[in-house]
Amino acid sequence: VSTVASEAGLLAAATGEATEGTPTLRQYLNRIVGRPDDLRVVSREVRPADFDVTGVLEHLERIDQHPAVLFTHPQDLRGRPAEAALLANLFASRARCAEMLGLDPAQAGAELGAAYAARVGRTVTPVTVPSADAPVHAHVLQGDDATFDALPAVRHFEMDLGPVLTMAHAMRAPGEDFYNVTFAKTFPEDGGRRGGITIHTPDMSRMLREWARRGERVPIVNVLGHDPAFWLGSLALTPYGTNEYETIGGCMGRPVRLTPSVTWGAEVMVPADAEIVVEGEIVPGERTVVNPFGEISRQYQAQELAPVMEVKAVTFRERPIMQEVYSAHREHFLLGLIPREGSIFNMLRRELGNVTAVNLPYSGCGRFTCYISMKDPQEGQPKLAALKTLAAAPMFQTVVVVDSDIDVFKEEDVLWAINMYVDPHRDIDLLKGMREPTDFRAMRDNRLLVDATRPRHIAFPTRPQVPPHVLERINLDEWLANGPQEGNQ
Amino acid sequence: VKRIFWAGCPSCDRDFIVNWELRTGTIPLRCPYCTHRFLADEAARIDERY
Repeated sequence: VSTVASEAGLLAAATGEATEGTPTLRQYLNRIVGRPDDLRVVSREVRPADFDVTGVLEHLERIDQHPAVLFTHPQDLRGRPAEAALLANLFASRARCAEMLGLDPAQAGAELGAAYAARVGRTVTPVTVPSADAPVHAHVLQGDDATFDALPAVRHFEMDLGPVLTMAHAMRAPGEDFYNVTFAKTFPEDGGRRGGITIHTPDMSRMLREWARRGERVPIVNVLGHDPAFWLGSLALTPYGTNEYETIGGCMGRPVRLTPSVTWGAEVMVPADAEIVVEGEIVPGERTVVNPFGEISRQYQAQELAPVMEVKAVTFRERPIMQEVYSAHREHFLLGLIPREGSIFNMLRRELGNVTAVNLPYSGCGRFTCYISMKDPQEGQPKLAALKTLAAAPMFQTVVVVDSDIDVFKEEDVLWAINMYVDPHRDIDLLKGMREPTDFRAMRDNRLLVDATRPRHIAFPTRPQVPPHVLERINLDEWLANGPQEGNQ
Repeated sequence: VKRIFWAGCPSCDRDFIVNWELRTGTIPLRCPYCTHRFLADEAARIDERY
């Protein structure tokens, strides 16, 4: 793993890119090059379909390092040098996610979700550019040349069915003018001419049902590289009928530039600034076997049947960068938890007022556990906050409410509060018969609510603290400036 | 939670997990280790406890 990126010749191409809003992919890579905690480069030839990529990422994970990794010379699915470089793990740090949304890296705690929610609330209408001005149409493969096999798809885990493309698909609702953009896995098969897509999200599943009623082939677009805020915006929790290109534009702070697809023209628009786009059609009534795959719950998802996408065209930029998510790890957790933290925080602030922070910890895969802090909660309020949270997001398995002097981003402190303040008989509630989760969990359709706020109905000790005015008086940098040297004299 | 089962591949003898929808019927399972295709009833072993 090298920290030298210049040889790739990939990162110098940020000139002439967007100047408003959040950074483009290449602008952001330029910003973090030379920061080894945030970007590493592998310049040797690698075989993504033979676990080379996840092998590197797993090594880094085991030493608690979470940089993005740019593989400049990956092989494609036929073992040839791929046109595209491969970028993984970009979203594996809260500080980077904050930066990618235009925040200071120090604003990676409670501010991150709130800032995200504010951004996606300000929708921005997309603009249309002609194909000639669309970077993603620099190269167009059609006919027999248009296959997934030209891409450096990654096989992640030992039991995975095969290499997978992990980024988002865009689909237009039939007879409507709005698009849904959703992360869904694609398993290439049949020489890369088609692939099974695991679509589980409610809105895209609904669109598929609407298309199925018409018995028509479904245009679908697999976007395999774009600006960081494009991906974060695509994960906003929006009601059906929302044009998610507008939501993404809000997140990016500038309009998404769309261009007519090469397959269907203006009938289906594709992101003009994408790195790579695969245009395809879902074949009505046809399904294929996909999975196992190591999924968000850090368990394998079982083999199942999924819709089939036939490839119609592959288009890409000059020297494209294909992105990929290291599933079942931090990056995967963060991509989904940031939008949820923001929307739950806003909902609780609106309805209860005294909620100070929300965290969906890595220990709950960023999906299944929610920590909430409240300032001076009244009797019953913690339980009410937990219930409101579960009503809004029934995928949570465990909701824990603590006082605002507990930092919900420090799991050790949350567990301390549970250990010291919780009387299981009084403070833990088991809700039975909620919606079954799609992920495998032994708790099945039951949920846990934990009120870990300090008991107020009885005399109870407080936490020890150094007087706050003393902490204010002591500037640590000044006091420690020459401390060790003096001590050694 | 969807019901799953474990199937043992009759070719390479390694096990993998499968959704219950593929337990019966004519669609072959696909072994992720050796790509062998086989019907669930042809598996070397099945763990379908539920």
